Amino acid sequence: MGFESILSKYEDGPADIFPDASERDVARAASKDCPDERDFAALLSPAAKTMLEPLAQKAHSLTLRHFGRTVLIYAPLYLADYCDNRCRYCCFNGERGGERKKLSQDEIKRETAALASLGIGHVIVLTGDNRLHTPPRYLEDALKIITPHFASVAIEVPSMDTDDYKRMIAAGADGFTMFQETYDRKIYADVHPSGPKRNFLYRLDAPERAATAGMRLINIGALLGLAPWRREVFLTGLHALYLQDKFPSCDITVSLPRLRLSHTGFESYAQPMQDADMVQSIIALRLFLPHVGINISTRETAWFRDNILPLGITKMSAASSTSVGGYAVHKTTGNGQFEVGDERSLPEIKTMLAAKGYYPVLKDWIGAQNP
Amino acid sequence: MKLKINGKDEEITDAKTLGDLLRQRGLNRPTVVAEHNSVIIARAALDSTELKPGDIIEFVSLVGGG
Amino acid sequence: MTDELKIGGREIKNRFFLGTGKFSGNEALEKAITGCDIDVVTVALRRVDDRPGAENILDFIPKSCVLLPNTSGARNADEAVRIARLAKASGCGNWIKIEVVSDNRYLLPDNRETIKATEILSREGFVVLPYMLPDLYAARDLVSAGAAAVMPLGSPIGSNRGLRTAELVRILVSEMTVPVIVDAGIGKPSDAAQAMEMGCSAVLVNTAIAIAQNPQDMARAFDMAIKAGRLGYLSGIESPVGTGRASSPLTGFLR
Repeated sequence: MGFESILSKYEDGPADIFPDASERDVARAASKDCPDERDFAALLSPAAKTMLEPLAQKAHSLTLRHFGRTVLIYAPLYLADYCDNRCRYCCFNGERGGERKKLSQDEIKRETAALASLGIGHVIVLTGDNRLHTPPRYLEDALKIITPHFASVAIEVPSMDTDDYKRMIAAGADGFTMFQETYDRKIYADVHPSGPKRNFLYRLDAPERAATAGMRLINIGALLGLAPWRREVFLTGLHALYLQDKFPSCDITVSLPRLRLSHTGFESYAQPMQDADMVQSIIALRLFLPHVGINISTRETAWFRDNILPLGITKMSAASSTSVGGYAVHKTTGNGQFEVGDERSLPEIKTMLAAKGYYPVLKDWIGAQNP
Repeated sequence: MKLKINGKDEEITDAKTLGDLLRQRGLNRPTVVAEHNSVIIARAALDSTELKPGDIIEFVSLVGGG
Repeated sequence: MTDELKIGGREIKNRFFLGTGKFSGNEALEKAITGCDIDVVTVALRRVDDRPGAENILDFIPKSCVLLPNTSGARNADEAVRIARLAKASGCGNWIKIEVVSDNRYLLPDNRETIKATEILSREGFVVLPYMLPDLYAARDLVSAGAAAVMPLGSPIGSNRGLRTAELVRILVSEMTVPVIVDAGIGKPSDAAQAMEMGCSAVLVNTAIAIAQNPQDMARAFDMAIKAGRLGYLSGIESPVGTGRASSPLTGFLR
């Protein structure tokens, strides 16, 4: 079972899913209270591109109704960048030279303190994929240090078994992020030439295992730019719906990480995703999944993030460092996993949000471990 | 003997089986269902179901309803 | 592509289900049924009227109709199960509308007892259509218990107040994998059309037709309204997507 049974239905069709959708199909999709898959595909179609403004208005109205004016702020915390995978698009690719780092327990404490002192309440903890340096035990110990200081801690780490996810939850994690990178099996195989990450299905089922283990917050997404974007966003939406239906008590959110080619020198198969495509994706996701949060990281520029907020963004990172120990320990050095597009500090982000009529939420969930 | 039929106490003298009772009352048609002491009696078994004092009998059928 | 409604393995040709209670007479009922080619007809089970010359309602319902006996009178699951078994024994088929009402003021269905009865009866091979108070959790439980459809009320029985529960029924239409059939409270043809436009699979109407001055014509009006509503739903009801310019455009920054 699993999401694969749904994914396989769309693997042979057109990359644009519903390329012949008419403006009438789009209008009908937008007018429904509960758009179905076909409607979602229409909203992502080329025809919808000419109707973005009225669609945006509906997306904005839906977001306000379901999420109010709050935007959750979070920051990433990279623990280690040792990695056995050779993902062709990633800066942590095991083949790249340069120094690899891994935070010791003491360094984790320092990073945690630095991040907490900034005022961040939600953190996402990341490691590369290396069983020798950063096995599940390493992450478990790190979480025990980190989680008491934050309201919510998510993990974005190599795929694990359900039992390992349970251990992470026992250590204090309550959220899980995993990007499928691409829902296209051929491209997936091509950009992941070696390493444990090569197992497409194991990764695809990871969100389910995490939810089954008890993770409350599940965040998924595809790395946009690896494969034609319409199918990727379509399948992301269907994946989110599948998880939402199967785990009604989980909070499902969707990210739209856009591949930044300049940083890695990787040449993708697909066209880079344009700003207008991102806008259309956010709108379509909002209309198809009114209750699913949409996350935008500091991959995007300040200008872009500020402008897409009203379209349906409910979560954004701030004051981010994407390199190991970037908040305290190795502050002046290091290549991050991706280039940060928005370098604003947390106070700057808070000011921007307030000016736009949003309320920044730094602590949405008080974990049981909090004092 | 005293029987309860459709909620009413009745004194029955000339019926020995459920089948007798049904025929007496002109209810011997397929859409009438007989219940004898909370057990639904199939049509084929009506003539072999003996009546005893204190039996509770219900005759029901389909009528108009929403 | 045909617009099929399948319940219990049977194709239902008319989404207008007719209730047979409260009619002025069986002839009026027969005219209403045949005038609209009604497919599904509800009946009730009562202690038999042994007056000489009493009419048998089944003589006025075409043999091609599906009979849907209800368990009206049941106040709990056990009573509903008993009535269902009696109905089946009368030879009218294995469909049953579970109606469990222990509240005599508003005649609201008891969802919990209905779920219990659904479980027992679906195991016994009945095609169960439970009458319910629109509640998503109860509807899910009914489907898990084996219901072939769900029948949420539009407004309390006999009140003819229309689709007061529209918002909740809308949720059921979105979430249910079985047909959603609105029952009770449909007072006017436009109520029935509204239910069909929302995406309901069928509508059960009784009182509004039975008490009309001309039941046959009223039935035809409902028939047309139900077909119109369904066609409207299939064709895609559209509301304008943002007419006029909003004060602050949201996508202007792309240009």
